Amino acid sequence: MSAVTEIAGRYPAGDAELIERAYVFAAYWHRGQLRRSGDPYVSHPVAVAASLARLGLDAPMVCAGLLHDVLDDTTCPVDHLRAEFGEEITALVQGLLALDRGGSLETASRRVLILKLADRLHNMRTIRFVARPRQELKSRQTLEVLVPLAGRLGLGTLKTQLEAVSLATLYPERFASAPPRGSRMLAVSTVLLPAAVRARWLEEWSGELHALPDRRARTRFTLQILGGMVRLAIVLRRRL
Amino acid sequence: MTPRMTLQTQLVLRALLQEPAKEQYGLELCAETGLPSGTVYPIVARLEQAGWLASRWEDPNEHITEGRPRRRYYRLTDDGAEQARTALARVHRPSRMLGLGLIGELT
Repeated sequence: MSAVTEIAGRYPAGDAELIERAYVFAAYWHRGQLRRSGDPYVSHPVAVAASLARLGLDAPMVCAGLLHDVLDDTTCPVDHLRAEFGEEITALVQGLLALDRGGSLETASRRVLILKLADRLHNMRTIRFVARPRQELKSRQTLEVLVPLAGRLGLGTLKTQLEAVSLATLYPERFASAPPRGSRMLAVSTVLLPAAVRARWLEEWSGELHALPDRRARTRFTLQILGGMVRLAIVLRRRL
Repeated sequence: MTPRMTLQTQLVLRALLQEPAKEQYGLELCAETGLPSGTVYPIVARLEQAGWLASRWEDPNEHITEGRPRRRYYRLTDDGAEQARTALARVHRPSRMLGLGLIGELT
């Protein structure tokens, strides 16, 4: 509860009460459920709500963060949610649910998309508890779809956080503890490239680096890439 | 838009045309052409933009079982293979005799 008190403390009294109520509601419906990490399930919506609060979003968004899984993962009836929290918050939760069940990113509202990004961020941060193939799948999907989406929405912080956690998941040996000088230099120099394609090229080169036999070959490969980066940037930025 | 037929571009196209249906990744193209990676990637990017090349990520079943990051594979499109042959032929016509002689020596 202390994490929730901290979140609620950022908002005026009326909003704070709503947020605390949303927490109690979520904790009730997720009671007995656990995350793969072994934590009580409600720790996940709380983390999502904390991200949303840090981004400066309003109380309905923070509540939607707290309540975002009650319709999907519990037997909570939607009418019950609506009666307690009203149409706006219910619509956000339903919007996310629709998106997760195959809805289109194109038609989802900006607020539902932000909810989705915050949800994914915490799922990525706890992804070490799921099987490796799924880790890779989710990391790639995050890099290919959600990172560019965060960029388009102008959410620089979320974008950076999502990108960092996905790359660290895909390439623990390169990004987590002590990345070899080469790949970090590559990562930095990709800022020259159009934002939408940076992750693709970085991943491609990381794969090639992995295939090279020794450090000398990797260094040479990296230096050559750096030498060609401006040219690649010009090619990729040229309008067809 | 037809990519400019620099010598390096010609080398990359020749490497791809040896087996047009075969997919190759960047490092293979570097090895085959002897060109530095910083030269090869801008060329494949340009050829891909022009529609001569298509690329795709490797199937997860392959790289995950081998425990390595996935590769990006390139291959000539049907149209690209045709255009590449035409463009290479055009480049060589003016100095055909010399060109053929040299290539004969080298291959």
